[in-house]
Amino acid sequence: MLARRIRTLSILAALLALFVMAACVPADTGAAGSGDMAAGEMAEEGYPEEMIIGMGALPVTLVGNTVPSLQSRIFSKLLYETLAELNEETGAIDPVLLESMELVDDVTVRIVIKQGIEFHNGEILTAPGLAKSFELLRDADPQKFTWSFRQLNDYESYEVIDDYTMEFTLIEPIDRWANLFANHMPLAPDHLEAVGLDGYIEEPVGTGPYKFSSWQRDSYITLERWEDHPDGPAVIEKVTFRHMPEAAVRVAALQSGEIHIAAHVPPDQIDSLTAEGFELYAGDSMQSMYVGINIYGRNEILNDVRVRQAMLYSVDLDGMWNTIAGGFGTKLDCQIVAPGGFGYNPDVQTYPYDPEKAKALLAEAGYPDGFTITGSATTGRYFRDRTFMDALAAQWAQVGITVEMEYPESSVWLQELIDQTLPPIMNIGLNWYLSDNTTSMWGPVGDSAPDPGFLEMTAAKRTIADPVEREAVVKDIAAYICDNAQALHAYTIPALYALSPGLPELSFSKSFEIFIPTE
Amino acid sequence: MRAFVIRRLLQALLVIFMVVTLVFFLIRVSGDPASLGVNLDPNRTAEEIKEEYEEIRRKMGLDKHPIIQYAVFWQRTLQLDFGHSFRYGVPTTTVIFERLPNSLRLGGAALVLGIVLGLPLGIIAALRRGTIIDTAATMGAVLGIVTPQFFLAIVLILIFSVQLRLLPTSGVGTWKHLILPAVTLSTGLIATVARIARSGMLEALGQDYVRTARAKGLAERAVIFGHALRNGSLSVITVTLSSLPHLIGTVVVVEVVFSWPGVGNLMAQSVMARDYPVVFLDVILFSVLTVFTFLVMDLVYVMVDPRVRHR
Repeated sequence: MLARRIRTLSILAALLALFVMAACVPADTGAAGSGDMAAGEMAEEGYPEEMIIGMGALPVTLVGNTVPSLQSRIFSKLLYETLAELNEETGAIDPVLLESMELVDDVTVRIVIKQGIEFHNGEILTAPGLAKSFELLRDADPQKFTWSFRQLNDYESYEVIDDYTMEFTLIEPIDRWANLFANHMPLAPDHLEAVGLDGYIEEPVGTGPYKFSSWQRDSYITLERWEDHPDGPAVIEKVTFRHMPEAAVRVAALQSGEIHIAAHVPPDQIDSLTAEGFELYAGDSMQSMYVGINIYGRNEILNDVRVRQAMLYSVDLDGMWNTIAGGFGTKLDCQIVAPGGFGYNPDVQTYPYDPEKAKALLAEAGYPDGFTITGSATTGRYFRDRTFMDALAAQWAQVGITVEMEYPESSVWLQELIDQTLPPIMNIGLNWYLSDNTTSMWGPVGDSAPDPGFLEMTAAKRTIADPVEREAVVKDIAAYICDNAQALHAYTIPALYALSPGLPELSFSKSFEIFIPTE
Repeated sequence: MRAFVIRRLLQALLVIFMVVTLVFFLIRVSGDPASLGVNLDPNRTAEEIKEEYEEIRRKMGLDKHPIIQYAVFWQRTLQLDFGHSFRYGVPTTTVIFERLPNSLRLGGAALVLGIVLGLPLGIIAALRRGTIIDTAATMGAVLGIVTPQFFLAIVLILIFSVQLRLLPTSGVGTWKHLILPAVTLSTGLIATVARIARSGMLEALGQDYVRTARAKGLAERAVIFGHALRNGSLSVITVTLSSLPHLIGTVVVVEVVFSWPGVGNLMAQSVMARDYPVVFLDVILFSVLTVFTFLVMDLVYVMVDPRVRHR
């Protein structure tokens, strides 16, 4: 009798607890997927009114030009547009908000802004306005903004010629002069002046197809379509990015219908998701898995090019790409860029997998029994980095090369990278967005260098402003890098998105931008 | 009593000071936030990267000797100036206090669940000692204590979100968002409270005063609630209160898995990003909460058991 009463009391207590919990939670905040298990209602065309994207990380600031990672561009390029952009087919930089941009002479760049470009708040993009926003951003405190548009440092000065024309003067002739415009997302100058950079974080204004709606740090960002965008309104009314750091939770949320897109899905989940009817967008990126061999030139054994070549002959890259990256991304051809990257050289090819040749080269170099060196592998910083480096060390061991691998914590690794104290073997996800096929970790180290000849070649290339002339030189340098076995160029890091059915025809760029069609 | 409280408060301040000092120096050993802010653009030379790194260090004040940084830190902290977050670029207090209500809500819900489910479970197990109910409750409690919360969270998501589609997987918004994180967080507490309540009740039920109460002809309900539970509850209070720091610690895991925007989640991200100002304020907050909990526990003890006061 008493036990029954206690049981009844327990049930009542549990119900009370639920009521208390319900009572202490505020009403719906309007956040993404707020309690509705089906992610949004359908618009007339059959598309969801609100598209919810589960992301591993959200940007910490919404101000254009300060969003720190390339991955954040999935969000920022909906809210903002850049003055110019990288053409992923040709590797050239094409104008977007600019009518034109040209090199008048070796050090003078003239840009003409398109007329009638409107910000979400009604301001018009003009040359004086752009100059004003440059002034306000130029001294951005890195303590507040982790990535300001540092390419402006390549320029000595700029001048407003008329309402839509500006001229920039370079400090010296430089190949990357257009990068500033490809990276720069104009901010509404009057709004910026009125609210300051701190205020802009809370009320960002751009020229993109979506305008800011609401944001809760590390929780969600909601954008709503801008009806007045020159290309017409997008087919989806709202886009919400939700913070879901755990990949398993992103996948579960997609399966439960809570979100429409799960970003950066683990490759081992792909088969089961596609079997359940989800679509897969296997995107590519402009970040390559790069394994530097003796980047500081400090290891005597690895200073012998035959040893480095032996290390490349002993790697079954096809097998590693298929097993570790699941065949996603692009397997590289002994060069840092994939086809389409600036200066891609089709004549350069991967060293074939030939362990016998590797052993012969090692014997020729005086190491018939192999040798032992140290290596460093990042853990979780890049796509399956540690797995890749472990597999690589195992393959090198087959020909007698023992790499004693260290796995430093991310910030320790960064510190070693900055201090140039990484061991002879190191890995990095090397980003070649707005860069070219000469991208390498073989740089100068204090007063010395691993290869002075290589540095002279790259330094000469940096002053060639003409793209055609530069491309030919870049191709030659890429061939030189491969011949000298500076590094193992593995594959581009894939960007895998799982999408629920019924979404419009979306596309993603190699720089992690999302394109939503217009009505 | 006043002297007791003052002594405990002074001890609490000392503990907070020592914890913050320890964290201040330990986090510096583990890495440098300036390195995380450097733009590793491959177009830049190693010298340019190094130069920018040094500039960021200067602006963050990290180029000074750690002892000077430590002195400046306390000077500012005592003026309640906790600085700006390196990562978010806004005042540290803003970052913390916009998340604190979420954590309090989650912690509060878990605490309520822990007590209202754990206590009756323990009492039932004690009253039905040796029966299948007791065995099931004991096994459930052990399972609740040993199950890793990360694992439990994923299992609950798969059942209630993916299979049954009853509850959202993560985030905040409505009361539905609170259920899975609160249940996950409270599991250990429910189990602990149930076990302690059971043993406390069993001990109390075997005492002479319970036998006397029964001999006097009191109703069983009056014996249980009026005598046994009242005396057996002391250990439950102790365990519940002493579980709170553990709850504060585990809230980090639960908040990360469920993307719950609370201070625990923030703490995890701030440590990874070496966002010193946020980490310090978070540590101060966690320390104050922990120390305050122990202080309350001591005071409750004194009130409930006068022998402690006289000791």
